[in-house]
Amino acid sequence: MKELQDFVRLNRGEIIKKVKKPRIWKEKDLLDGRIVDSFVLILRTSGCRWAHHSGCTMCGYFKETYNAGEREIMRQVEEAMEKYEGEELVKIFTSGSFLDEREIPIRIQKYILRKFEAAEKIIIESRPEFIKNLSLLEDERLEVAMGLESANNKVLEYSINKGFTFEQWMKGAEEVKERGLSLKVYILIKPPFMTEKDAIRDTVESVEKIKDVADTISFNPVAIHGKTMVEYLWRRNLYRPPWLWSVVDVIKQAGKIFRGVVKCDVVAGGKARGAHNCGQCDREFLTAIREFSLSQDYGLFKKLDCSCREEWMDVLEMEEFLRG
Amino acid sequence: MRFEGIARNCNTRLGKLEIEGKEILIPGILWYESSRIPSPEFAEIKLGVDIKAGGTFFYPKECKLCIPSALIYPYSFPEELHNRAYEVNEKFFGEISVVSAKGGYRKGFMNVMANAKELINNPRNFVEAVVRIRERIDYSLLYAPGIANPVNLPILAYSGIDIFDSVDVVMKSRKGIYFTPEGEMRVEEMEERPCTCSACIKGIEGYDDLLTHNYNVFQNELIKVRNAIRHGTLRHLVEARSHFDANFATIIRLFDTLHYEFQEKRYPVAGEKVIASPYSLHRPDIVRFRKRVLERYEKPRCAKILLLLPCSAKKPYSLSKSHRLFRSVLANVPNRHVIHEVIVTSPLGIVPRELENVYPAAHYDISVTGEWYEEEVEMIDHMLREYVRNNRYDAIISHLPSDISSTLEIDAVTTCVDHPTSSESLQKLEREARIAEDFERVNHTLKRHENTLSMLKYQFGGEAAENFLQECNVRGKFPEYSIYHEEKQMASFSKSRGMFILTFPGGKKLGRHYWVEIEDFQPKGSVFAVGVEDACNVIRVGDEVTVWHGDELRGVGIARMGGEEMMEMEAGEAVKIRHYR
Repeated sequence: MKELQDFVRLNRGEIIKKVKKPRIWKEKDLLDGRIVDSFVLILRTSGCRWAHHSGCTMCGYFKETYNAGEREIMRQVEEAMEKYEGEELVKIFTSGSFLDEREIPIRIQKYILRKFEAAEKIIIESRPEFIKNLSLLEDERLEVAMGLESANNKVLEYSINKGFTFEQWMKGAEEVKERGLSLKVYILIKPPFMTEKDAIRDTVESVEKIKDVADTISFNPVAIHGKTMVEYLWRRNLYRPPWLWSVVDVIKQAGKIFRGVVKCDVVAGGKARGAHNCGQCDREFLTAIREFSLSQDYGLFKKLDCSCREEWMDVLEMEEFLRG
Repeated sequence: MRFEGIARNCNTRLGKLEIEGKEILIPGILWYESSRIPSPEFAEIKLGVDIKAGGTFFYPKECKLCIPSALIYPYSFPEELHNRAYEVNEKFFGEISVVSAKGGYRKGFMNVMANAKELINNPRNFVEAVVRIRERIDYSLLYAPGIANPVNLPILAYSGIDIFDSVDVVMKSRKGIYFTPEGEMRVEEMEERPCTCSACIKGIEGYDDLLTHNYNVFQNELIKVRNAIRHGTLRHLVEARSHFDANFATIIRLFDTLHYEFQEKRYPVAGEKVIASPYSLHRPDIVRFRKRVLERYEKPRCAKILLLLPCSAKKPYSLSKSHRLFRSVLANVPNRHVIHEVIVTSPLGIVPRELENVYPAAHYDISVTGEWYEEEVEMIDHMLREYVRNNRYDAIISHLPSDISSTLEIDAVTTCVDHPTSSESLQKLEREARIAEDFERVNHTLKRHENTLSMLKYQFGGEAAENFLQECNVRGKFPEYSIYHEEKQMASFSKSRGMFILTFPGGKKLGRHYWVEIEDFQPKGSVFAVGVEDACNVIRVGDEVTVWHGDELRGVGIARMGGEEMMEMEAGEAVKIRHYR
């Protein structure tokens, strides 16, 4: 919707590009059922093409970009190589789409993948419109992570401002599968302008629609990034990040209908800017979610309880009567 | 659904709403109920049971008597987004509609206020939005979801919101909040509980008890609000509550300072009592009085000497001890009818003697200390200067005590020495008043006639008053004047209503002023809004009106609605007929 696109752009203001150093760290992750060390590299590129036009209401990654040319990207890769110790799993992200040739020229994309020769699996991220570039890479180690956020077109258009429809996304997803690559799908928990109840329902219905194409589903509870539309709302008390109760509920419901791997990284968990409960039980919930992402053990959620559950249930019941 | 207004006060009304065979009083509360959350025993219409949520924009649900699903963007979003939202929402709106202050809108029978929860935290936006929405939906029902509680109920009702719900009270009860009419406290932090409801007597042990107490106090406040509307005291209630939350005070001030016209056309022109407070200076019915004195009223032509008198606590002033003293002094003055007594007071400014029985001059109570607020002095000074510019006098005598006279910029002979009723002051007044002798003789009959004309001008406006009084004579003793034309009574002054009331022939003589046009029927007891074809928009609740069908007068009576409301509404008494053909 043009009006929302315009307003998101207006609210964001000028994108200031100043971060030049790549971010590099290592973390435990799941690879074919095993817990392995993974190497994470976030390259600073010109960033998401959609964010240049308008951008998603919850996404603040546009701030972590700069107009890096080929040489600078190669310099960042060199810096990464100094720290790379042959981890089996490598994740190479940009604050946009790895496959977008405007962010990383195809030649450089190929160069980067070659550099990580030792990796068994490389996860990259892309919006669906750049999936066609996979044909130029011909690398079977790739796992492609695609942000869908919601499979409901109304949510994509009126809430997230995602810039594509579910059908357009699905085309890209199917192409990933046709190439024999594995697909990771990001689903957002609680886009703006929605009730908590709607948000849970939307997430579960989205899982239902992509369960046959996804190998991994990663749930992203909304966290308040600076200069985003959700920050605008949050500052005015018009948005609360999801309850951890909702996050756990979504994971449990997804587990009943989806056979692949379910993950969830709660950014700013337990804080006002991230998914949180009452403050008493947050740590317990976050530990359970973190451990679950590695173990896939749904039993971890059984012991979770807190008196704030009633408050959360009140919200689920009554929020739709509050009408915005 | 059917709605009928019964009583009006401030910007709101009391009425009966019929939903699905159930009848409730408005202002009313929709009590939320579900398997987890009980509603109170006294709940009539239940939210979630009788009225359901029709889902949300993203996941709408088809159902009967539902709050329609709607995409609601924040109030602070640009107009274009609200317009887009309306485009996708419109098809869901029917008898129940969601109305935003921005973008497109469709009026329903019951209208749900969009962004209520966002707006209530910002008094300025709240007032702007509630006025805008009310103008959009005319006199149909307004429901503000999720914001009402025992504390803010009076100010929300004052703002013209008809329907509330218990959602906020349920949610706050869960957080351990104990409501009193004046505020909220955490239940565990209360040393004593100022309530004797069933739950408080038994002892509050958990959520259920707390919820019961909060429901009880919420219902009590609702009934207080309805009683205040019935008795014309809602303004007092909201002014009193304004001391407990600065936002409430802000809401009152913004209504008064920015939305005089919106309020004035809703405020009745009759009432029982006005307790004046610092807010009253801007109270719409007080401001209306001041405006009418300056804009409609003209002094009796024969009055040549302006005598400014202090007000009295007792109303009307004439009955007070001090004014009886003044009048007994003046009774000795030859040609005293050229003297025009005008009372100087706050918050009304100036009250010409003939208007002392008019609402709210005969009805206000104010603490009198002799200490004046600067704002009061400014108002009086401004009003007096405007008044003497419009009404020329040959001389001005001020019998005002120095606390006020010293602050007024007016050229007058001062007769008050220390206290207005001291013998020295009274003697001086009598001495100075004797200049009346220098003027052309004015007899009692002429003065009475011109007093009546001035009173009529205040009530009906100058031209209508002049025409009405032509070829009439006035009988009776002030204030109980009766107006006769060719030996037939046209009107008489009603002290209880503070205005002239018409006879049937009087209605004919007045002609098409304060008129209501009805369909072709002969009203006897009442004219209902459904029968009103058109009405003069100067009519206010409590006004004396004429009822016409074409050129034919069908009756005279008392307006029960404002002119605008008579045209908008389909039910309810519009005019109480007093005389018909």
